[in-house]
Amino acid sequence: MTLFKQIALLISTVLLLILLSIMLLNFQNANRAVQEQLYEDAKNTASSLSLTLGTAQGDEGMMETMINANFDSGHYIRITLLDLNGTLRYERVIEQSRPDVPEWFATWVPISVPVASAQVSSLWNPIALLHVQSDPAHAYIQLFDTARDLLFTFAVIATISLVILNALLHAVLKPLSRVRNQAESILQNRFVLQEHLPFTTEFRDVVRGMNAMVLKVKEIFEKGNEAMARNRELLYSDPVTRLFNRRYLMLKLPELLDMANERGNGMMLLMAFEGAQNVNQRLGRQRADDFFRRLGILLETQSNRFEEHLAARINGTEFAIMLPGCTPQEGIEIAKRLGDLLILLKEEYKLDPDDCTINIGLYRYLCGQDTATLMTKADYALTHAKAREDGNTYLFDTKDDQSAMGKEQWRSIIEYALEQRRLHLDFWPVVSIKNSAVIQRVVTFSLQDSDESSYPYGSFAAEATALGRLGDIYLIALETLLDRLDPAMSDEYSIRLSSEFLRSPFAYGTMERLLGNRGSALKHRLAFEISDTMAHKYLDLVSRFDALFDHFGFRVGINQFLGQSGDYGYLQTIRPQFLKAEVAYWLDITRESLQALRLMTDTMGITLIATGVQTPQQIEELQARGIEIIQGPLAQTLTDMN
Amino acid sequence: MKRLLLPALLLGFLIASPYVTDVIIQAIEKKYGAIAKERFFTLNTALESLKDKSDLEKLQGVNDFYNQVLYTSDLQNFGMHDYWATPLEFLGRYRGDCEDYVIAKYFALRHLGIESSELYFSYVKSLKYREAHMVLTYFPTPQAVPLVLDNYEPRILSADQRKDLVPVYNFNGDALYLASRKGEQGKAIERSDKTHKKWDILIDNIKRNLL
Repeated sequence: MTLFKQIALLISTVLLLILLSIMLLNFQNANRAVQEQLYEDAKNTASSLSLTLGTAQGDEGMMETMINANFDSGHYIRITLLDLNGTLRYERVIEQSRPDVPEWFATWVPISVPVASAQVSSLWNPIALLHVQSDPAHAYIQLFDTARDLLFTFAVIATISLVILNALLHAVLKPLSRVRNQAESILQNRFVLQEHLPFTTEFRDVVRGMNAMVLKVKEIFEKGNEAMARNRELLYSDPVTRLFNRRYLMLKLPELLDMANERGNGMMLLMAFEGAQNVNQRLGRQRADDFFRRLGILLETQSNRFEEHLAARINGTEFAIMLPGCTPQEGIEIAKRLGDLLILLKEEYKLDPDDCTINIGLYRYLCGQDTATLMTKADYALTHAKAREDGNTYLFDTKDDQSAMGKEQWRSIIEYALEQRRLHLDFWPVVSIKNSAVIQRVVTFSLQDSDESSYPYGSFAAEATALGRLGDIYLIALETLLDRLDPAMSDEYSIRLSSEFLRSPFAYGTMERLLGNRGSALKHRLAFEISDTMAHKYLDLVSRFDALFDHFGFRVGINQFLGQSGDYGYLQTIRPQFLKAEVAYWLDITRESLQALRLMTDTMGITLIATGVQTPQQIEELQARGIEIIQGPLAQTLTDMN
Repeated sequence: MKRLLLPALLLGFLIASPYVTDVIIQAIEKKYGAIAKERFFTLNTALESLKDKSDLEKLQGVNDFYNQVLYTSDLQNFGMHDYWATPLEFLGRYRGDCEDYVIAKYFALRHLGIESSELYFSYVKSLKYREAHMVLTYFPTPQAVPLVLDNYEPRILSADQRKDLVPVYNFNGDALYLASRKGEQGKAIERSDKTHKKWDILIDNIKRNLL
């Protein structure tokens, strides 16, 4: 029970008891006053009638007449005349006395009617004793009206008091609700500062304490953030050109290849710069560095029309540009423009045309390719470029079986799968290294054709996006997932939401509709995975989704984490449940960087997970770095063994 | 009976003990002075001397003793138009009006063993003074012509000899209380402890030993 309810209950009870007591006391007083009045009336009658009877000088007939006259004119139960020995001389008793009030009231409030007495004299001698008792019928009506008025007044005062009490308590305890909200936010790893300090001393101290704690956590986070950014600079950046280095390229390639799935295929431009020694000699170290910095800017600007592009310096003389979604034609145009721009740059630095040249190998990569194949093929293209007599570029275009399928064929497959709801779900375990327990199951889905052919997400994503049906596929996939989940089980599931889907205009509405219809009934814990790149590049959009998921009790997780952002504030904004990165990243990252990352994630309760884990050796190394949860082929093996 | 005895006990009503106890006499001395104290000693002595006498001698002794007290109106004595003084107040101040004589005589006679049913506070009209007046009347039997103890008349005369007085109403608080208690046998009717307003206040003052 909340403090508000406890205080409200206590004060209300006391208030009602006080009001009730006052009401009862008032009623008792009224009752007593009525009885006093009844007696006084009877006494007055007894006194005056006894004096009157004295004038009859013992004439019984006269005395009876006098008693009758009095009895008939007033409200009496009885008037009795006794002689001095106590013998009854005359009596009048009321025939019927029924108070005009409800029977329960007459039973509940008995009115005792005292008898008033007076002596009757005849000249010097006392001759009789007179008893008079008033009729309480009228008193009952008076008391009933009093009780009704008191009850009404009580109800009005009690209602007004309770309303005022409620308002006062709300006003006094308003800061407490803010304190509570802040405490709940902290529990949910939301670190909110309360700028307005409450007036109440105790609450103010609590808020100060929590604010101090929040500031410390923020400070820790900031320190981690700064350290990560510093380490990122040192680890993944080429000091001269400010482009990414080989280390980063190799870590990023799996994600870029994955991206190719959604955007169709992409181009890799692998470039070899010949004559670097000449440049150094002719320009001197400092100007040569400046020359290469300008070259880096050229590579960056020529590739930045492809949103997920990456330009990197592999070593002193080799560069690479990754262009997801780029066609061979576009790649050739970029290569040609780069050659032209280099000529202009050489002129600017007054270098001879033969001092340095650039050879560019272009490779069109495909969905599902691995990093090694990509690098081998790109290297092959570069070798050919270098060997060419008639030019300095060479395009190596891979034959693509799937893309050989025409658009109509894809449309037919996608429409069939949607109509027949032919989606196949696979579940991939995420396992704790310590006890091989399954922490989470990652859900992937594929389309199934009428001939039972299966098409993984990567193969149809680009076509589905082009056809505008990616949202519908996600909707059916999620509905199929929700149907498949056993309500009795409370397992945790995770499903990846691709950048293409999240950025599509229909995604938010789709998710809102789906979760609105089904989300509140779902007992399972479901997390939606969003890529690190997506989260830090489209923070506003991701925050909207995060708020939507949070509304229905679901969480967001980050996958393909590469630490590529210079600012990790977005982690504070979306508070992911977990952070997944390729095993290669976890093993590559320096201990200092990992420590800095942990500073941030630990303050927010974010779990670190390694993906793509394949060998026991990797598990040992991950454990040495404190990464205890894995996903990938080995996780499946561990589960199967269990 | 309890109600009847209580003021009597407080006044030292028991035959074995004096009418006014030493403790009360000390309090009287403190309030009214040594002469007042002597008056109460004299009262005790007078009543002690009467206790074995006949009813008539008791009536005469008590009437003579209290008729020595000076007559004063309540307005002069207490600043009120009508006030029934306790016997202690009456003798302590050594002044009072007709009701105060009646009250003092009534309780003194009760101390000497006269029954309450034989004594009445009689409201009368004094033809001589043309004013409302009160006397104590003694009824040897209920139907007998009563004897009148009057502060204006040193002699105790029977009522039919008092042509200067017109009887209006007789009242006896103790008797009224007793009579109302045994009034209607077997009937469960609520009775009030009250009998007569002035009488009720007087009894309350006596209980408190009001001086």
